Amino acid sequence: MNTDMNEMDLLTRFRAEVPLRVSPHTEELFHAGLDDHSTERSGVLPTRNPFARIRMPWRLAIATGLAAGLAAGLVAAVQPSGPPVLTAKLLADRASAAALAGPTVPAGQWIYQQTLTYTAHAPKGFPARLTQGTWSTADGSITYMEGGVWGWGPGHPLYSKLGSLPSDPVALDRYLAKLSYPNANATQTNKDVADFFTIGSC
Amino acid sequence: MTPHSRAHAEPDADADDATVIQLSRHEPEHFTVLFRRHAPHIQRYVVRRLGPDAADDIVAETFLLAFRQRNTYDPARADARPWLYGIATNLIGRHRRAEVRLYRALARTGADAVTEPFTDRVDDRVSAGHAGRQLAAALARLSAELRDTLLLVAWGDLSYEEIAVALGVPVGTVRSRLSRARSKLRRTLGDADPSALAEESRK
Repeated sequence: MNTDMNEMDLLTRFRAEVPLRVSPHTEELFHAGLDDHSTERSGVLPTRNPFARIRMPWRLAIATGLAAGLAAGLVAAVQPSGPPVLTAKLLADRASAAALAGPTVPAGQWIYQQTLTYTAHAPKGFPARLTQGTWSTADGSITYMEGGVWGWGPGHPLYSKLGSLPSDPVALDRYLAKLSYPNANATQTNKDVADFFTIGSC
Repeated sequence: MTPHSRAHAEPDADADDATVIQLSRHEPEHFTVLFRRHAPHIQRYVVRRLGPDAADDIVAETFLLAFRQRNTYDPARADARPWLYGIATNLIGRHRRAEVRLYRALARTGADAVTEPFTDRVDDRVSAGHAGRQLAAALARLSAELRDTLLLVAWGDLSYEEIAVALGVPVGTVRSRLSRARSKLRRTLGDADPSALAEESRK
């Protein structure tokens, strides 16, 4: 054994009893810092389409939860009394009204959006809390994601086209449902979920 | 949901570091994969230099700084270890005096506050032995840049090229620093037989 090798060997063994692990406190500090970052970013930015970046299985899981929620809302809506219930039609109405009343933004202006999504009963492997960030043009024609440019597919109403959408809530609901669910056999729940996604992408 | 049950990191288990960092630009949760992958090694490195108390904050800060700088990460570098060790080493630099104090205390008394919490053997708590004391004295006498280079090799297990990336210096500088550090180490260790010292450190 030569001197150099032993010298480095000695150094390698020095304090070698320190274990290879992360302390719970370190982990706690890291996750708290990450959560703070998410909260800071999501607290001041608008929500556009909170579901657009979620992978398909996760999207399905969210859709299931939303469907249950919307179905419950629809059931409640037919009750004779009580406070107003947020139905898909009402959402569509509010979305179009809010868009028409909003400030004029140049179609090509880049906007950064960060969304924070909570799922009450997240399935295994699905995060209960999900933060997403995207850059896109105001008209939604170009979205920058994961290092590449990605355009919206055909059939999605763009921001700039909101003004031409039907102003009547029932007509708007019918129009939106047709965009995503042309299949006449689709269930009402599926239509409601589709409406919700389409509204989110407006 | 506890931090330990954040299962959304799993889909990236096979992706290299650069891919994980790229994904985390739009979905910050992906960054937890990088933490799980490298934090144990970074923590051990920092603990060996500064002890467990200071290490918790430094390791967490290392990964949070990396997270904030993730948009500047070079995607051509598949392995993020040099980047992370570089950040950790910079943060350790704020605690140079504390690090040197620990080496000097060990050299003087034989008691090592760094390893105390991790050993059950009473003998080890009382004394690190002659080898450990001499080595601590040698490390205390090294300049910060020589010690950083030496310990990134010995404890960080980085190659010369990786250390160059970590410290932001040319590879030639790394070679030169390592050569000087080892020479100084040998001189401080004096006439002691390195084989005997290594054997003693195994006890």
